[in-house]
Amino acid sequence: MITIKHLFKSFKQGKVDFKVLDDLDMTIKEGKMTAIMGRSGAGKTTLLNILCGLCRMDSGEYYFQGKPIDLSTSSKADKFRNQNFGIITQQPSLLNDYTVYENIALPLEYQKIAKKDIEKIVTETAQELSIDEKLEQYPDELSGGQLQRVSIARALCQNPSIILADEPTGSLDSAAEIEIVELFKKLNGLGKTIVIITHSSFIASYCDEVITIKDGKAFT
Amino acid sequence: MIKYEITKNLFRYKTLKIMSIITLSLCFFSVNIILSNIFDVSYMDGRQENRIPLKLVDNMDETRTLSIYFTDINRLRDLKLFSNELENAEEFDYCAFYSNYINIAYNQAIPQEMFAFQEHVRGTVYGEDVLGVNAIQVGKTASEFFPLFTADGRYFTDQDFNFNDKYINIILGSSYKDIYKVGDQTKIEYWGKLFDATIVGFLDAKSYIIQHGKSISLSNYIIAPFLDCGDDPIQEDDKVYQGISYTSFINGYAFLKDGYNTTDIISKIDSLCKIYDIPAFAYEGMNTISLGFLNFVLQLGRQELYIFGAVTYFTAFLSFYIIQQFISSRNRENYRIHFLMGARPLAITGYISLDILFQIIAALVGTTFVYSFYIGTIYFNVKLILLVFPMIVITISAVVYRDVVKNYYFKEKK
Ligand SMILES: Nc1ncnc2c1ncn2[C@@H]1O[C@H](COP(=O)(O)OP(=O)(O)OP(=O)(O)O)[C@@H](O)[C@H]1O
Ligand SMILES: [Mg+2]
Repeated sequence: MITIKHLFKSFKQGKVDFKVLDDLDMTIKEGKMTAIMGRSGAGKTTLLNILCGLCRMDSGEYYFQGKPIDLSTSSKADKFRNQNFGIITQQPSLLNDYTVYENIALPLEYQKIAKKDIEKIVTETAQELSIDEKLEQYPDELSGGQLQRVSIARALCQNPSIILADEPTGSLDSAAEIEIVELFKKLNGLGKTIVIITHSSFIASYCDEVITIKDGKAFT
Repeated sequence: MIKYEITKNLFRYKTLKIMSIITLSLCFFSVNIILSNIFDVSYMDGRQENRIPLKLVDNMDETRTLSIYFTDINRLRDLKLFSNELENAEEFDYCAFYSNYINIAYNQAIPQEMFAFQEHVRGTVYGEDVLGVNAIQVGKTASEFFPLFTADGRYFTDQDFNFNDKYINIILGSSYKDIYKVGDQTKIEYWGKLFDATIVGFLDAKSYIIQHGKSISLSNYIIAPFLDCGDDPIQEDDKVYQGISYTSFINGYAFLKDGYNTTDIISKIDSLCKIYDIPAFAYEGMNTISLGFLNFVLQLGRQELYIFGAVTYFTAFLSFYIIQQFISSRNRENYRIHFLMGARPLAITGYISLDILFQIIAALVGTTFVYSFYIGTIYFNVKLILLVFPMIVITISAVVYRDVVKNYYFKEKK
């Protein structure tokens, strides 16, 4: 589904260029659940940002469903991201003065979907993720696991073909971790392509593919 | 843009926003007072350099209040005594100054610029075919305070201010030179009474007055003296004339004498109003709640006033700007989430602009409220609006640059 070739990415740190990704090649297969592993600072989040167009490659080729993708401008990248990806960030990015319902509905509002349809999509997704009782509450009244589920619900609402999750269980205990990973497995079973960044080999064991980032390169 | 984000955004960081609104209101209030004074000062044209006037505005707008003075001879006498007191006050020098149209005998050479009204300019008064034209009415002392120079003929003498039955001397603005010459006579209807007017001079082309912060050239005006017709009217049309004349006469400027301050003027006038049973005055562009501040402003010279106004404005601008940067740095995480969820840069720019505009409008409304409540007039100097404008533009651009341009087009920066 996604093929990346000769990806280079470096950041300026002071006066020196700090190479994060260095001639990286990788493939993400459609309908599979892929884990991306690597030690802290290896460049996992950077890679994920590049995948969804939040961050630009210095050089490299990006193929999506076999076709090269042009991510040269922010608006092209935004369109590409909004059409194809559901993103679950490392820290749950929820608005604290929005109810759970409003948080989940946010991307749909920006897609200018009719109020009625939004209501239908949000309540259905919330039921699926068993947070339908929390819709009128605010994020700071929810537990970490519930917050992650709200993020997942928000990503799912957009009906993306790929879900990108950056350490979705990083701050959860093992019971909650199992719940979340089972949930991903279930979504995967429904046909979604899933990419999870994780430090946990337990999560990796649920995945069909494991990609490890080391020295700026990807190993399978 | 999403409607509920607009409202939620307005109510985020309430304390900071209330601070910003209060700061701005104080600034607008002071700068407005100062601006109106600066313009009244420049009005003096170097004649009374450091004497800033308190502008008196009567509260007799209601026809009912006015008509009492036309019908009741005792009330008319009170009004005359009251205006005598203004002229002889030991706390201030009084200068009567009023602007109201006068009907002049119809002359087809008089161009449109002179007309006081767009429609119905021509009519018949006491059998005369007349035209309503722009005019100002001045008291004896006006030329000491205002730049009223004659280029042709002469300025008014003290005798010109005495009531002389049907005769009056007038001065014309420079544009009238093509139509009349010094010594010409014409009929005028001046506040309900028909006069034989003699043109004694023409104003210099550069003469002007300032009204509500706008400079108005006097080229198209007739200048008429306030006539002192004593206490008792002789004829019926004298009665109406005196009524209008004396009620207009009490509008003008009070210039402090040495050793007195604004509080003294106001309490003197208030006590006179009580004695002669005249509705309390309004003081245009002045704040009667903080007379201390007003006194301070009135004691400043022109130069100090400019500096004080500039410092007030820039301090307020700076604190408003800093508060907005505070608010925006707290809001940045929210905006990042909106971006991530598909918001366009224009939407975020909209949230930011509406938020800042709301604070400015709240401050303007607050200032207007205080003004109209304590001073009785909503009086915004045009220059204030011009000063508010760069404040809005600069602040919005700075916040948009940091939160939209940088945040959006350089997302990868952490
Ligand atoms: N915007 C940036 N500017 C400068 N350096 C950056 C930027 N983003 C990332 N880096 C650097 O790139 C490297 C990789 O960062 P990244 O966030 O991708 O790591 P990671 O693998 O996700 O780590 P973790 O497991 O801790 O989340 C780090 O050394 C980081 O300091
Ligand atoms: Mg990371």
